[in-house]
Amino acid sequence: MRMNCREIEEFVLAYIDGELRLRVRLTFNFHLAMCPECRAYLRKYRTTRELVRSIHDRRASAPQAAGPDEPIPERLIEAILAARRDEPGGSV
Amino acid sequence: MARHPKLASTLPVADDEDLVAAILAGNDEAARAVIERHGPRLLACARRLLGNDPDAEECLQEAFIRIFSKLGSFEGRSGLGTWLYRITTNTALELLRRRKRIEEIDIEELLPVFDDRGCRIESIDESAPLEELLASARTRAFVRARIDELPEGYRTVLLLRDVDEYSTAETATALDISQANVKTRLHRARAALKKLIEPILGGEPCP
Repeated sequence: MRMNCREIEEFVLAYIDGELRLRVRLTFNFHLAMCPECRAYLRKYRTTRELVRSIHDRRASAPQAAGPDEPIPERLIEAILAARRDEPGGSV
Repeated sequence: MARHPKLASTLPVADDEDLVAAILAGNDEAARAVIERHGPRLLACARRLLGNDPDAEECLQEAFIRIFSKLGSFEGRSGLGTWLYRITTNTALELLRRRKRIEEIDIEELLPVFDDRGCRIESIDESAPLEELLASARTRAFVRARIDELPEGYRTVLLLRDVDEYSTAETATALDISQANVKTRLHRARAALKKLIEPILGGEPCP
């Protein structure tokens, strides 16, 4: 069974996640072997996925990274604590 | 204000379990310690999902109101951090649902293109190595900005799955959509983002 590029597209996510059954995977791999456009597409698709996963990584050294280590502004902490006091059953 | 004598002097190193107990006993300092310890990560999560600081701060306040009111029912099956993260994510998703719909890009415009024979129309130029892309602060900022341009329903799935590492099932539950829908949206979000960041994938400098 052969698939063209448009038909392959439906299986890309499952292929990347290693969820394709053997027969479909073989067909997919055969298509990749014959198709430089789909190979290029998959390369860039994988790179895109890795970029998304890592750009919010707290280990990032980029100064613009809105890292999770930025402290909470004091006014926000006060607002949260004030709201807690106002809630029924808040602090004593 | 009730004070836990032992806890007051050891708050910076008190573990989450002790802090929870102190908060339930009415200790404001313990509540502050939890906000300071876990808040930054929760705020970053809210910022990613909501896309701007004012909404993220509103979300964090709302989330902590819920957190403190539900703290008595926290059973410790998952870690406190995980529990807080889930509440914050759910709060952010609710805020997203309440937001007015704004003009969004049609995702169809960003999906792969095929010719009449079903052949992919795609540049086969070599792409820049991933390590090189990750090392550039401008690249990272560029990618983050492009993520913000994705239609909300697709951006949310992308962030939950690829950044927050929710499973397909967890994402489906959080968004009240089917798992099949999660998979479709994730794939389309990745394909669309790839198109948005295409210039830098080929090693060109950020526009």
